[in-house]
Amino acid sequence: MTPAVAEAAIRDFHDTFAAVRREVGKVVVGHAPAIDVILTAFFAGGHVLIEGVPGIGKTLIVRSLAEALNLSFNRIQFTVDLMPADITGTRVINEGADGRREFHFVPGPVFAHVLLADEINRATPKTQSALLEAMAEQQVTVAGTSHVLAPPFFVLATLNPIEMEGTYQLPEAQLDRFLVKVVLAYPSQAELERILSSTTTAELPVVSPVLARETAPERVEALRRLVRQVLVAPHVDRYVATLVRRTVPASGETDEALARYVTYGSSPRGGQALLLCAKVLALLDGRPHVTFEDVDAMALPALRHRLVMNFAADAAGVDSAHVIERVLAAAGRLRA
Amino acid sequence: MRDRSRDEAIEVLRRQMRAVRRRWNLLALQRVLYLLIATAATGAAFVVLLALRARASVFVVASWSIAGGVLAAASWVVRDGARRWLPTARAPAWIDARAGLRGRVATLAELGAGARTFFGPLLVEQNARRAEDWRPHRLLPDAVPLAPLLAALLATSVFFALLVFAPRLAPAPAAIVVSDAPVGPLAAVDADDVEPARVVVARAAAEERTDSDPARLGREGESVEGEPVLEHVASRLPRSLRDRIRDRLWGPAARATGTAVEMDRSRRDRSTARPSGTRARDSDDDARWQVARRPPPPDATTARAGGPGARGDGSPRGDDPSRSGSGTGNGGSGAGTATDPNLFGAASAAENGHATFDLPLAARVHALGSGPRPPSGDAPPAAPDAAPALAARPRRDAPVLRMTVPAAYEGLVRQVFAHHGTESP
Repeated sequence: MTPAVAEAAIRDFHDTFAAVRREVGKVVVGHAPAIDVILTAFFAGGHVLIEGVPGIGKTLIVRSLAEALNLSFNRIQFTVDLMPADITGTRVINEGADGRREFHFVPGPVFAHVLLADEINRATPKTQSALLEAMAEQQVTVAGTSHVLAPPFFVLATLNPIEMEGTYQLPEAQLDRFLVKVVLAYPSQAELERILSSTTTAELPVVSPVLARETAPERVEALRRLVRQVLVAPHVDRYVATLVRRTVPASGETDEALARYVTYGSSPRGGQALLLCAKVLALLDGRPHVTFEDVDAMALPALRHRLVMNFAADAAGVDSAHVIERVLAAAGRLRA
Repeated sequence: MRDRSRDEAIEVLRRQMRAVRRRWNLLALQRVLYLLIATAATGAAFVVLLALRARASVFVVASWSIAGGVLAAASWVVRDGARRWLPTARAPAWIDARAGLRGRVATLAELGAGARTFFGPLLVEQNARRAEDWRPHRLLPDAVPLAPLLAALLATSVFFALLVFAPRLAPAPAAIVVSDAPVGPLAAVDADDVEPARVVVARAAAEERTDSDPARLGREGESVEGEPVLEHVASRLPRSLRDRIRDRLWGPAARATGTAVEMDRSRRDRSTARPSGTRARDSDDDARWQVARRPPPPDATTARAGGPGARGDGSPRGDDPSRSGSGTGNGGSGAGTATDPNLFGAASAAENGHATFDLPLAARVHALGSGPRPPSGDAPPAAPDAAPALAARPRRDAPVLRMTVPAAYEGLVRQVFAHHGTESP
């Protein structure tokens, strides 16, 4: 492989990313950093958990992303009475022309390239866990039969932080399967004015597909493979490992002031997520290798939902973002 | 073929890394060296300056403080040098940060030939493309660290200038005068006078002391019981250093003067701090330094030139206007400056080599002289450095007994007592 080919691949990745970003930006006002993180997680091959108040544009972001990428899109509104089969699909009895009856699998909404799991914390843990296999192994098993999900498979779940009545906390195992967690802030005055003006007119903005429908899945998969080709030097690996271990109180490397607020730290999957996202940032910067700055930039979204904080943290008003910032500051001195 | 060229490119980049590292480490070494020189020279300059100008007690404290400061600064310089030292493992990351290469060199250095992946060639090519940006002479344009070098030069220049100009800081050499008579405290001596005109070595007169006065440790080196006390090494070393510096730069005479000044000062300090209700202390046989204040000009110039004050007769110098410009300088205490040429009368003709002197050894001799001139104008202020023990009162005039000189010795006696001065009798 010649340098020119690699450089062209990086340029293609960068152009695709920028085009998708631009199309999503047509309909989504503001939230630019959140959109960047979501797209980064998408090209890194992970799933995204979005936390934000209702009406802030969570669904719009996901839908416009699917439209821009020209991928299939499904939405599941999670409720208390939602059953696992409502997600994965179920088997129904079909009677053939010859009168024979046989079970036939009807795929659920999970069979899509882009899946929006809206207000995922409203479903019971049993239903929530129905997504586990799909998210981790890109397949669902119904009645003993595994059905592979067509790549790319991208889950974008939303959480409503203010309506906690009748909700179920997401289990840590499921949280860990999200590559990043994005917190959508309330739009600013200027953004709100733009939202009002752009969404109440007769001519609504339309998202144009960036990729051809027939080749979109393959193109996305190729881009995802390209991300994994990005070079990571051992010193960056060490840095990521240090960051992750410093969030784990049991490792003994955590700052004592922080260790008393954290019950469980990040899993190794957090390190993987961090490095994959950093690779995307490296490509966007035109580099074939990851730097410390790439890692630092993605540390918060990649690790914040993996830290289990205790009551002392709640009482002291310390959240996971605070812990990660402190860990980054301490680790930054190590890399100098 | 392509792999070989890539390996060669990697090797070129590695060589460049080593060159940058060597250059930086050389700079770091020079920096440490220059800063150490600057630190040492600055400390030495302060020590020399204090040794020449400060009191001994101040010098003891200051010299240890300077030594501590120099040690602290030197350790900081060495630690800083160690921190700046670039080991092989850290060199690529340092080059990246210095040249703004965003981790390219560090990644290539660590992955090296192992970077045979999709992006490996691109990484090598990007590094080769930007190799010009971090050439040793471009990344580190200065061959020597200018600021530390200037600091070292400045400090050493100050130090050597101090050595060169140190003799100008020397006080006028005081005459060392030895006296048999005991001397008491000279109240008129200025406490800040470090340039005495004369140092009198004599036995100390009786002093007032109390039994309970801790200042009974009046004489250095003695305890209350009279047992010798060893001076602490923390004090002895700086004093020794100060003496050496003064000896080397000013000569031993100045050292003696300085020592006398300090001993006199400390003695007077003790006297000042002594409470009332004291009793007389027996005089001892120890020699005691006394310091006489420099007389007012123009006699001071005469004293510095080794004039009458340096005669070694213990008499006060420069406070007698009649003696200015006498030029002889060999008279006895209280004697005049001229001799009667006919002191012994006419010479006899007899030559008898076996004859003896009629003049007894204890005979008193009165020298005729011009005597002091009558004062004119306002009376000058009393000489504060008058030594009452040496010249408490004028000597009573006594007649000179004429004696008979044997003829055989007449010529010799005339020759011995002949007046060779220019002054008329």
